[in-house]
Amino acid sequence: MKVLALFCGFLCALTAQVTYDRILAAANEPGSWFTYSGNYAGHRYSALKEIDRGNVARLRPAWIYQTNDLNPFEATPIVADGVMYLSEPPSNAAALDLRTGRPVWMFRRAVPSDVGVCCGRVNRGVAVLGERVFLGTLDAHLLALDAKTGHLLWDAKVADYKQGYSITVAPLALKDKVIVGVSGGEYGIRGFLDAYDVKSGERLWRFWTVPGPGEPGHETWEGDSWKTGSAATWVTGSYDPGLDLLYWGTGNPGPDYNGEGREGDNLYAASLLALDASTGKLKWHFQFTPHDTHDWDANHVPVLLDAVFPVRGASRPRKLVAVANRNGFFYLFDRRTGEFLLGGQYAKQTWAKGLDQQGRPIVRELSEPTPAGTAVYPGVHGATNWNSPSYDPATGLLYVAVRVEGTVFYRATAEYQAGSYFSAGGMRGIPGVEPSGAIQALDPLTGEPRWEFPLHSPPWAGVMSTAGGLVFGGTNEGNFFALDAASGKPLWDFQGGAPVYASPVSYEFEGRQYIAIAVGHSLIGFTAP
Amino acid sequence: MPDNFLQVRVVTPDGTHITGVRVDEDTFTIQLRDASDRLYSFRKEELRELHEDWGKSPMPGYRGVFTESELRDVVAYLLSLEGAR
Repeated sequence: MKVLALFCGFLCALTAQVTYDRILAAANEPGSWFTYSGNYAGHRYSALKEIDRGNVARLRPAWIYQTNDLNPFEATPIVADGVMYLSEPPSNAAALDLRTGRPVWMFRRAVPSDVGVCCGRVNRGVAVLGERVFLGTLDAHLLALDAKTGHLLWDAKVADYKQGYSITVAPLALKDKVIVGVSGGEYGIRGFLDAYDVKSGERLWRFWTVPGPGEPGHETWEGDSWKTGSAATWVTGSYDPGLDLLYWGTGNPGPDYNGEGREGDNLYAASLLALDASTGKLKWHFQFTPHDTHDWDANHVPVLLDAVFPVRGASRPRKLVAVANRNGFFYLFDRRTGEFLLGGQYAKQTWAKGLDQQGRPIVRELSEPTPAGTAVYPGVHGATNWNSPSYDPATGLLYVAVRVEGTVFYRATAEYQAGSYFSAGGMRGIPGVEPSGAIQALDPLTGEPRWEFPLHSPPWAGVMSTAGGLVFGGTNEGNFFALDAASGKPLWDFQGGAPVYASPVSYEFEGRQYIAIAVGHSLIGFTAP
Repeated sequence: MPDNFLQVRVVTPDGTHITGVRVDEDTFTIQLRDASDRLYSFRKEELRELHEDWGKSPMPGYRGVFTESELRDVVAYLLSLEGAR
């Protein structure tokens, strides 16, 4: 009878639907993790509090799932109804039984060997909506899989990978759509963000992140440079259902290191876009790094928060969006209008004197890449990168994985060839300087740091905060750790034996809280026995 | 010195001073080897002191032992040694 009950429970779980209403009300189901960031607001915060400051030292692995692939494992898993859905490098997917970590189904996608990727054959996760799992592939397709079986339901060609496009981003599913962006910023693509119908796979809209002739912003590109302007969309954005606005970051202009030939601000590269989710129309934009020549993508998860914020002497509740940018500056905006509210340096940088009243950087001379090389902070990988920040509504703090690393940037020339590497320069580390990193807690309403926990090297792992008063993060040396969210004091760490290139999640199974993170080529589920 | 070479001095919880060369390090731990080839592993939070001496080496210097000319002779001799290939 017990076996039958377990079987029924498992079958029932596999037939449940992750509806849009359930995702909207994710706060009512803290035991699940429905989207890339845990909620549409980009918080990467868990309201679970069984694991707290007092017992986190007891955290132990409950199970380990191996991917059998040697590419970096960057995925954030989705958890719903007793099942974990995840992508695996290069473009595979699996559903795991939460009790054991064993696969319920596995989906394997053959990826052509000539797909060009700058930074590893990786994938950052799937989206789930209804009874479907959505997966982007390195050969630039978007797939819908049956959540119960992993069988392919539809296959939409998003772009031609032979033109340098690929997909590494975790899609974002909302209402009747699945939103997906593209990679290829080092291959001279013309970037865009797409929406597809969840049932048919039909494309519903496309927003080009590099405006074409006649479109606003096109004048910020010299000659035909817009055709290879890049502005890729390779990190999952956030969504405000009340405003029906998507917030999505864009990558570097192409080519990366040589701005000659693309004079101008190069909109909408290195920007935050607010798009109407129903139509894909641009509501507002903000460009963090005009005419970027340091590969400072603005591909971050924008963090949406509501708070009382004083503007021009009047304090009133505001809908805000916060971004700790790769260029070393923190920004806060009114997310209805895009109004720049405040900004300031949060990490080591040498390229700008500061921001002006509109948030535009006041650039220092001699920070441009040269043929002989120019040393600049932050380096090519930025003061932070794609790895997720976290916002804890209880502490009101924004947690950011910070990189303290400079780069010597070189400028060269490059001739565009479709599908080939197109960066017009290069980079190397600054000799004799050992890079480091930190987890930093920022007050998003002032931009001021509250505490900082130093890391041995610049992290590639994201962070997650929890109602247990904890912040979880990882290191390149294999540490997975927990800090006190209020003070930054280290409370627990585990040596996983390989670099952490992912961001954590938390969920509940059979009344117990778990923390899951990809470490090396494994996914580890931790709990406190 | 190699880029990654680092001399480390630590003071353990019982007050013992140890100097060695860093073998490995992460955010929470450090491993070092002393001049007698003994390997140590520490959790950083348990150490009373941890000093990382970039640019320093436990190798003795020859300044004051050899003249510049003698040093050049030694280097020339060492370069002349071909050894087994």
